[in-house]
Amino acid sequence: MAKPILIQALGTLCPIPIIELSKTMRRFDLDQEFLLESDDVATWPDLQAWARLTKNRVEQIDRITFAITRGLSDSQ
Amino acid sequence: MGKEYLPSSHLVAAQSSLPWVSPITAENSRNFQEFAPISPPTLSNLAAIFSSGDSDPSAFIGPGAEQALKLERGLALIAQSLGVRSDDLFLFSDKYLGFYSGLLGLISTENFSTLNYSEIEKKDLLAIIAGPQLSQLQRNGLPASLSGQVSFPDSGENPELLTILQIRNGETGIWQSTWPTGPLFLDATSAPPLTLTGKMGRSPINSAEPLPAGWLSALFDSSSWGGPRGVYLLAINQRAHWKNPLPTFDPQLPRFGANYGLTLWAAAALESFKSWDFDAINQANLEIREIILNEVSEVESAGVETFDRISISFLHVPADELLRRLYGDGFLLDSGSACSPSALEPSHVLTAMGILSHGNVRIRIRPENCGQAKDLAHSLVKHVKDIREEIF
Repeated sequence: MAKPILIQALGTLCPIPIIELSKTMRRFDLDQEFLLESDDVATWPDLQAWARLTKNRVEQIDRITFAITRGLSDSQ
Repeated sequence: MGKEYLPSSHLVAAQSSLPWVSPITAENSRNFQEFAPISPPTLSNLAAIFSSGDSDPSAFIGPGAEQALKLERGLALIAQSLGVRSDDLFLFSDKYLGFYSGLLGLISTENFSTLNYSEIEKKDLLAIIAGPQLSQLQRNGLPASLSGQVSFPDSGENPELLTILQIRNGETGIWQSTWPTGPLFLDATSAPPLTLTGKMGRSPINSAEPLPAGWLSALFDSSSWGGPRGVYLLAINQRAHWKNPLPTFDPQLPRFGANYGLTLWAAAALESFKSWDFDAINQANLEIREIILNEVSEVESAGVETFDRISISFLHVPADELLRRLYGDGFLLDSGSACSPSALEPSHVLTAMGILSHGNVRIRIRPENCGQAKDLAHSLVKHVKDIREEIF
């Protein structure tokens, strides 16, 4: 499996981190994994809602780092 | 008081000769914000109220006394609609103070050991709950589901457990469908009078019951029925051992700087509210939801039967940009989320429910804007699609 793609969104406010994640995901294969770095307090709750809406999977690694893997759908 | 609405041609803000009064920003018919200009029927009634009397309603004779009588009648009307006794109703000009007095007045006299509340409560109340005055209690914040419902544990009529029940959430318009038993402090600040709510999507609660059986004190807000901000009514149940927690020489009948003019406005607004076409409001709510949910993907709305309020979030859409574009079409809306000019924090209500908090707009429906509901929905759909296309 390819190394996870890092998306740096530190210092930006929502929905920019989520938008950057979605834009980046569209450029890669379905089996690609991603790491999102964001320090906006809204990111984790919104990322969970995003995962539910787009059928992807998210996991919080630490306060500012989140791992994303694609779910059943190829939608971002 | 008259109940007739003025013709639609009157649904524009009045011109003013005052240089510091803002120019007209939107027609009332396209204003879907939380607070709108005073409605035409209420304005008409208020003009009648204030055309007699003077500015001091405490006078014993003369026009002031007449004003005082109007105030008493207005309060009686409000109390009757709220399902409480008018002499059990105390006025506050500040919501925080109303919450503080209603809750602390119970805590100081009853032997409560535990306090249950929901995480979607108003921030004013959450701040009081977290404060040092309640540190002797075990405080349990209860989560809300995606549908906005809170699972209150069965208290088994435990007299030491006080539950704070938010009857309706102000941001989403969601009603709690079940009421917990046992002693209750009611946050009714976003619930129009429950004696009138049979047609407001409040099922399955029995609308014949104005208040839950266990209520001890309750705070109401006149803006929930179209009245002004700054009129909060604290009702104390006669069987409650409530004691005014604020310093006063008259603990039985405290006065908290209530504004007489605003209180009369609240009463006039309630009179107007009673003649609202509730079915039309519900229909407009449904139409807005249907159009948006049928035509836009990746969207989440909070709750379903929410009467005059809708909270809806669009993935990948900055709410401030969406509000700007809607304003270009003449529509005024609020955002309940982060990413708005006035709020960079995510909405704690949406976050607690697990609903997407960015790209959120809040819609409040009134008789004046009902006719524009479909146009608003189509405008929302267009701008959401445009913004997403520009981003991706």
